[in-house]
Amino acid sequence: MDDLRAGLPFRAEYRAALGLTPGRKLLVLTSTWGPHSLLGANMDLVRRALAELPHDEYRVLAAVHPNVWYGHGGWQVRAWLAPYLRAGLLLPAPETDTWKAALVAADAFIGDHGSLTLYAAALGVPGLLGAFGDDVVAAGSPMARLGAALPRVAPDVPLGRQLRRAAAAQAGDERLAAIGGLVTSRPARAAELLRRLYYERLELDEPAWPAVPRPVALPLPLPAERYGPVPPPMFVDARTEPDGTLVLHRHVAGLQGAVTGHLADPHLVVAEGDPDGRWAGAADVVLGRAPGPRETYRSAAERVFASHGGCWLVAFADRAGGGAGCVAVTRDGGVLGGRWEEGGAAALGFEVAASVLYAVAGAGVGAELTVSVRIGGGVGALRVG
Amino acid sequence: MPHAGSSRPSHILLRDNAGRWATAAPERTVLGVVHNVTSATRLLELLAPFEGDSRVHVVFTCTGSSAFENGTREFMAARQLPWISWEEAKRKKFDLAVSSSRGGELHKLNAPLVGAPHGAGYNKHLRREPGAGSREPGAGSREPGAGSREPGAGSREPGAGSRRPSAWMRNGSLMTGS
Repeated sequence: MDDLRAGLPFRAEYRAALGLTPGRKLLVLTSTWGPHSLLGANMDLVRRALAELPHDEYRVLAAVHPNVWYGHGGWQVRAWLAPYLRAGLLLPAPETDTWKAALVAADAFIGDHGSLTLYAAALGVPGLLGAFGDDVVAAGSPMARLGAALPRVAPDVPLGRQLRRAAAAQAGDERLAAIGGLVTSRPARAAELLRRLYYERLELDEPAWPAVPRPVALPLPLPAERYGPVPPPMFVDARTEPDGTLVLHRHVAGLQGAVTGHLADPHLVVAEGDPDGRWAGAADVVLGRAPGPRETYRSAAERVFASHGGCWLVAFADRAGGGAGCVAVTRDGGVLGGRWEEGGAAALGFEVAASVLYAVAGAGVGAELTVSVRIGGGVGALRVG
Repeated sequence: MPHAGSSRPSHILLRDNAGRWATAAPERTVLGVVHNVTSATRLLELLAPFEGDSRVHVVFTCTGSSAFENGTREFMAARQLPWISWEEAKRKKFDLAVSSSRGGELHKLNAPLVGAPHGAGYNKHLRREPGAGSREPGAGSREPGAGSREPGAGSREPGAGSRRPSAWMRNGSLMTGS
């Protein structure tokens, strides 16, 4: 606990080491082991987190107890969570201490009756309980008190809304702070006390240097996941703020379930060639393959419209200028171009440009215009004409 | 030191003629007691106070008492922990033993024992079902009735039958008994 707390001033460094870009939030799912644990009792929460939280706003990391990992086998755990790994779940191997850096870097947690939940609360991270082993937790223990103090995940309310409520309600919550204080009665002194005890037993003089808490080590980069070439179909919610900024929220379509409150009026973006037949007929926007040597954008789009009955706009990566731009053809024959203005906005990419063009085309475009775009922590300006 | 069995100590510093083989000559030997990967990760944190002190060396052993032993050997090998068998550990005398779990026959160790939880204190009941896991009934050191570990229960000495002093960390406080 001391080492975790000693890391708090360096939160930015832990965030960077975990690959979090500015503005990206980190949700840590903490699971102990056994049938009452988060993974044991409510594995569907992993899906919900990746489905209901905006894809570009949150990263989701699962900190899994080694007894889950070694009890079932790391391959098996990864296989069970494979659809979520493909949707961006971070899953550090539990013999590493990446979970510590994640707790220090976290913006929110969803936990159970495991110790990591208690550590997260003690670090002041707002959170929810996704499961809780009421029967295995000792009455009166700090964990039992935490179980009584934290809200449980509601099955029918979008998780983003629940996390925002928890953050607002738990800021400055004295009851939670008191529970967090139970983790150690000698804050910041564990190294000193432990060393004194050891050396007394060893009948040796203690080393000359002081025994002080050491901030958690920065994590090594997580092993890179391998992805297929097909981007996952996305529901994209686009709305214009009063200042004219177009704000986009993307949600992985294939993970959606019964809760839909986070999807106000989305359009569905699907890649041409996606082998999952569910999407071809439902797509509003199709990310088209580059036109062949004898094709124009229009003729390539006609081919896509023919095989995607609900599609209204086909977007092609603009081959000129590094590929960050976009050429779009609408079903009524209109052709639109979009190009990100200089200044790092190219990172928002072709797929986001396609959704911006769909949003502005739906609103009817006359002359050229520049659209300010925000998605997750990223901002950009798309010149449309 | 005579010991049963045919094997000589597997660690050079545990041999009678250690000076012939060893590069360093530590003054004290600490035994790190591993149960599974969970407790091993915690144990390595608990041993951090010895970093930089060449007067002390650490050898590790595994109790063989955990239901979650998969991956433990690999963990110990990957971190190059100098390892001796549990049988050998029980035969030897150590200046200190450190454990981050209470499982196994800790009372059979010949060393002052310091223990700590491997999580945020003791919050769970442990139901010990006969024959559950890999712990044979009656093999442990626990007295009848010690099946549920309740926070706040007074002295819970795994080595209650042992004469050696031991201490357990709880909620950051040291619990010492003998």
